[in-house]
Amino acid sequence: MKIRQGILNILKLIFVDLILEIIYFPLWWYSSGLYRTGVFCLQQIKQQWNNMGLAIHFKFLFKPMYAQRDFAGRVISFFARLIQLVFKLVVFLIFILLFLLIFLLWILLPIIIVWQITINLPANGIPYAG
Amino acid sequence: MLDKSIIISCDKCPSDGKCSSCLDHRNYVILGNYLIYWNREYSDLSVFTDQIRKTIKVIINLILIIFTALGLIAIFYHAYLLKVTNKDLLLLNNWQGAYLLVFWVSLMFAMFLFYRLKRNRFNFEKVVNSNSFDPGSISSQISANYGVNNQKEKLTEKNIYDVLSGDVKKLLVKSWFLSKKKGSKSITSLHLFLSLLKHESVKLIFSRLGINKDSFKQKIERLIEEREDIKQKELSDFEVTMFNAYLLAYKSMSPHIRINHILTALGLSNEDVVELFLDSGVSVDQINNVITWVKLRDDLRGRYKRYKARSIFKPKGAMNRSMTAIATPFLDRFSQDMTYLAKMGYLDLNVARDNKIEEIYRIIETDNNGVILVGQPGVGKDSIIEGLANRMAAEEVPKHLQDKRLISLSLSSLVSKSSVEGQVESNLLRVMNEIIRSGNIILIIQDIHNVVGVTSAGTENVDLSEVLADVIAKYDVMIIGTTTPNDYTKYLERNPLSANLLKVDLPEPNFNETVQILEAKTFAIENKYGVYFSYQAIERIVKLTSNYIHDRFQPSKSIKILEEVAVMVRKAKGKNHLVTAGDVSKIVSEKVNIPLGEVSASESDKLMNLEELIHKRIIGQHEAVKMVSSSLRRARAELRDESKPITNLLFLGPTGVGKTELAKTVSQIFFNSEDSMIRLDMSEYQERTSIARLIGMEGSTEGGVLTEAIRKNPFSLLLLDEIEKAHPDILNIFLQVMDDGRLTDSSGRTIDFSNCIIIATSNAAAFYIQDQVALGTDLKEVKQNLLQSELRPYFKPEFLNRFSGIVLFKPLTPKEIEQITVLMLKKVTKRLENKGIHFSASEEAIKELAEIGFSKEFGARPLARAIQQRVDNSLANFLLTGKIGRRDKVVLERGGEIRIEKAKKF
Repeated sequence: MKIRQGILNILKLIFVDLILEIIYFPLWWYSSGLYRTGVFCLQQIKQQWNNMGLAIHFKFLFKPMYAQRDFAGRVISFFARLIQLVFKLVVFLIFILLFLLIFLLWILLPIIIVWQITINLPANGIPYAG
Repeated sequence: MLDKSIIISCDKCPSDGKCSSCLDHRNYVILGNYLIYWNREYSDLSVFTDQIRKTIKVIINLILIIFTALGLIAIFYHAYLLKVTNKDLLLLNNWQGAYLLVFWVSLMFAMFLFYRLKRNRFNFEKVVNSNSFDPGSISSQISANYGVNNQKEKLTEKNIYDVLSGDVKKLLVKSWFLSKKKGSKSITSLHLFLSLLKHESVKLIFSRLGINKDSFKQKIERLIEEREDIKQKELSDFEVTMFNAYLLAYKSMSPHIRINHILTALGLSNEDVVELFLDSGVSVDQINNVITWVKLRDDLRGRYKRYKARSIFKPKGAMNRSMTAIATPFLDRFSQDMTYLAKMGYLDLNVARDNKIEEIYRIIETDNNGVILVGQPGVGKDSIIEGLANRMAAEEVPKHLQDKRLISLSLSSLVSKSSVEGQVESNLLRVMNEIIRSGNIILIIQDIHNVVGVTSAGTENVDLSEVLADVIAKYDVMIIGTTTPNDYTKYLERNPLSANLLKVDLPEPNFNETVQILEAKTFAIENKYGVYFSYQAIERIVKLTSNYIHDRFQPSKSIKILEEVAVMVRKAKGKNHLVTAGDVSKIVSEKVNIPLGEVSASESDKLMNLEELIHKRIIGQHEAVKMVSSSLRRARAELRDESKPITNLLFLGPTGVGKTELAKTVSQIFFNSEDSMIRLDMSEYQERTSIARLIGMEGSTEGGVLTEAIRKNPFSLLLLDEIEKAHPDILNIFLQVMDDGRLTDSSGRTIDFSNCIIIATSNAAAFYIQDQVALGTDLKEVKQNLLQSELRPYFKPEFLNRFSGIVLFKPLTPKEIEQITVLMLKKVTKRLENKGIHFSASEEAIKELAEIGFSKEFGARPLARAIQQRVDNSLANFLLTGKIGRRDKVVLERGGEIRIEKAKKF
């Protein structure tokens, strides 16, 4: 008898836990979860900045390439570096956009889901595909 | 670390109701602003609840995963239907319906799953972070004397249970089941220990410690039964263990309490556990070191992976990332690209040398042009350079070193590829020119002292070092050179090169560092040979090589032994065997030719009966034999002072009483050979100038007689015959040897005497001894008088003081001479036995020989002459004339007559 009581208590506890967890879910999504995602995206962008060596490219923009320190060398390397930099910046920009998208998706996903579920409810009378 | 007194046990708790002074925790520790307590009941119900909770958690996760999968299937099926019915896949209006509903709902479930997993990972309680206070001084943060009420700030309560890692929680449940099985009411630390033994990582630690797990288990089980009767105290051992584990985790800045912490905590809080370990020859410190060793493996693996990952961005060729460099084809002919090797993973990771690399960084970051690493061969100069290359490849270096190449210039190929006059200099200049133009090269010149004095022809006077120094000073070329201390003083100290390069001394690593370096090396060696090292073996290697191998340096001498032992064990025992401390002792003992390691039964027998053994060769002189024997036993039991010679003895007595013979016997017994005796006749060193002969001439590369002999053979007996005849200044040299166990020779090498037995013999005051013994004076009194007055003219008191024993050799008595005669005749017997002839002597003959051979002044010396004249001479005559043949019996009779009993002929 006592054990059965105990088991019931446990189940009750677990049930309450679950309810609390479900209630906390949206809160977490827009607080702690949002923060973490933001940090993650920023870290990825920063990592990419380092990997592509963009800082180096900016820093050495006016420095001649291949130790060609004469005037022609300087001019040629400036333009060579500039072209390279522009190209790399474009790639980097795409990368930024990608992570911005992920971040936006995190914010919008719950809203989209709720919206989609409501319009797809059987009550709205949308027929099955096919 | 933790004594129980810092755990506060509340004494104000009322029998019922709340207690305000301990917040109902009864036992707790205050750590900074935190109150740490242990609260976790183990009962059928609590364990059952936990298991149900866990199961339900897994079930919920499974359901969520299934739903997610279902959603994916639904959306793919929807797409398939669109395709089949030829509807436009890109039209948003087509993406509606029941399947989409399933998909969106399942997406929500997927998000929920993500949230559950992430939240669990982040929201675990962590061990209080010690960043805010100094983890080194725990005691200052633990305010033992304060109750909760006395704290000024509000305390945050922390339950230890919340920071246990999953493994530890499982372990506790297992211990609880175990304690139930053993009929105990609650978990004790012994239960915890017993279930800990089954854990995989603990098994590994135990095998490293060379502990037999099964016998250990039996001992614990026996202990559990014995300790069962003892009533549980207010504060149980188990709780103390948990408090200890928490503090250990706190100290090591670990966010959770792991299995390792529990193991160490047990070693700190339970006396039984400590005793068990000590019984198996393991101390708590050793357990800690093994845990660090296991961790080191993960660290190294992590570091290797990180370096590998980060070095992807390091360019392979001559070009740097900023593309300012140029190709260096000429330099490449004479050099090796270290950063490239590091990038490809060819270089070893270095351990325990971080502070030296930091020092190099510091010097480079100031305006210096580089450094010279000065260290003995084998202390790890190359390994530091390799470590630097690894860090440069991963760009984990200060700004000055980033985006640079580390190039090692080979001087020998530079010189050997220069055949024409003046070509070395011009080649070097070309190399330097490339380096200057490229601007991204840091040059390594190993054994940089070799550039001093190099010229390709006699016509110029500028040598290579000056060319190099000039370039370094003018253009900012960064150079790292290596050299040895001797070469540094000899070639570089007054050279312009040293003006531009700062010296970084690289001493031998200390004991702990060497152990760490060896530990890092073991992983590769274990893989290669398939054997495993116990921790004790590693420790033993370092200890023995430090004590007994003096001509090479740590860590290279230890690493060599490490490999050799692995090979030996592999050959002797096969694969998958443990290398023990005994194996190490065996191999080092073979190398240095003295007994080391555990004393075996037969050796122990030998040591305990040393006196008898010695008396087989030495007649009489009981006091001397006893003194020598006990000092040898002390040495073998490793009870002696290891910075001094094994023992210093002065043998005093008239000639021919066995002084030299005893020394020979000692050498035979302790070093297994009479040849290990270095004998110096001090009568040859009567002049002050003969010091140079002993320790070498100033400025000459040849060492002295004494220092060279000991350097080549540090494990030997040094016999200084007739020491009173040596010049007093020479005696002063021996003062130092006997006191410090070391001597510096003329070329500055320190010679180690700590594995020598030094025996000096002297005839000084021999007449006095003879007279006093004849008068029958007590020996103690004779000795007293000798020290106080009779030896004064010969030796200074401080010299006599250095001897650990001054041994008086008594003049021999007629009885002893007789025994010696027997011994000497035995030698004749032995010689004749080789020729197949039996020799014996009648008793009268022996007595007669002893009488003839006896002399008060000369001891047993005349006896040898007598035997030679009376026995050997006649025997020689007989042998030469063919009167004695094989199997004949020869008997020495009174009057020196020799009787022959002819054997039957075949």
